[in-house]
Amino acid sequence: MNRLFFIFVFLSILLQNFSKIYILLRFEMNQDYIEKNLCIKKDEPDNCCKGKCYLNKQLEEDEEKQKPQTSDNLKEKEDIQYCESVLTTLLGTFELTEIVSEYILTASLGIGISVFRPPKV
Amino acid sequence: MPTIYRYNRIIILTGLLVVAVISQAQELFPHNEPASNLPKRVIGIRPFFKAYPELGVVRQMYALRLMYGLTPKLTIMGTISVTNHHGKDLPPNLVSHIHSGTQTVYSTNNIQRGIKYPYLFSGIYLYAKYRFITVDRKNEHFRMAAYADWSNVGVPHDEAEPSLMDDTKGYGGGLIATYLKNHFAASFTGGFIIPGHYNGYSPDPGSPDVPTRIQYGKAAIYNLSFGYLWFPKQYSDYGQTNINLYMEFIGKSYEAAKVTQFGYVNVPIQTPLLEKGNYIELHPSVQAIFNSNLRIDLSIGLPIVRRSYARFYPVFYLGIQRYLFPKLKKKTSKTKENE
Repeated sequence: MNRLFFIFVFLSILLQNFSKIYILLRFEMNQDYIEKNLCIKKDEPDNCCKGKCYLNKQLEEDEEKQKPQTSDNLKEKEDIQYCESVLTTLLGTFELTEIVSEYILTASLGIGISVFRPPKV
Repeated sequence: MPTIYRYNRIIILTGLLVVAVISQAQELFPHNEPASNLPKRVIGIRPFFKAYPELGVVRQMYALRLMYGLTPKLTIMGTISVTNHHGKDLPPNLVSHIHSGTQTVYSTNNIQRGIKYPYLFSGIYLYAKYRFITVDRKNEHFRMAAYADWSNVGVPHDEAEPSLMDDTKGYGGGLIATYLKNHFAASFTGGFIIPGHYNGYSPDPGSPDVPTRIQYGKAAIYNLSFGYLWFPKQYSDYGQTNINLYMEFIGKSYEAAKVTQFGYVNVPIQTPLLEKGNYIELHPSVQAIFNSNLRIDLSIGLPIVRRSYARFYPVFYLGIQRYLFPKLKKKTSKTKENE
């Protein structure tokens, strides 16, 4: 059981970081091509970048892709869900139904001032 | 012959064919052929798939291979493939020229990578292997075979490195030596490729396309494969699942390509894509064989000494293979009557 749990946790961690590991591996394997063709300093004689600018760009893009699932967005989603659940508890659930009747259609949409009169003593 | 003996014979013969195929399971290398052959009249079908990411585009190859044991010593194979590795013409800036005064300066350049290409039929690749040395002992054997291959692939391949199966037409040959002992197998393949040329057109912006000929470089191949039968440790029946682990080193050295335009202009080679080169790749693989028949190969290819300019890394491979055993003759009504 412990072994299974360990494998599950290990795989979860691995999968979470898989895209980054994959990007790093791909960079390592194709670095010579990237350095000569895609690096912003490719034409400089002493290229100290060696294609790392491309790697950083790829990692940033990956971070961007993963953003909707993390940090601020996730917190915002949690806040909305919390408010919804509080309102549901307080007010109960109700359905919004469209009522179609002649009375409502012909009713005045303005405020009936005549209604707001002080009562006769 | 009594019926029961006839059926026993069929079962024994089929069993022997199965044993012949799986008893050396750890030498069924995913990327290299062993010196052993398919048993006579056994058919093998292998659909396989290769893919690698190339700057935002996934290059893929779908192939289908048919194998046949013509005699116990001779196996023949045919492979067809569809890939999205190449466009219909050569890439726009692979070969170009500029006009400087009265002179024209020709050059070869690195092409833009990550361009989407359509899926094109590559062609037909044929392969024959003849086993000429067989030294068999209990749980041990040494075999040697000679092979010859040929292809009519005619896609606009844009690198010097030839590959008969999916990139260049031509022919080749070589020798295979395979040694197997208990759970281990090792095999070496040494060979050559004499590629053909590609005749096509190179785009020239603002002008008609330029007739271009690329003669790909001759190549030497040196592959070393190791296999290990991981499971089962001991066979109990033929239906047992086999798990084999492989480590294959694939090496190639090739000459520079020769590029000619208009039939007479020799274009200087200034890009590593068309220069001579050499590399060694490592392909670790895992293989499962179910019911002694259905074989599934999974592997990943990585560069370990320099690299191939014909692909990006890692290269993923998936192969599925099935054997069809010959139907042994059943008794006819006439033979029944005679009995």
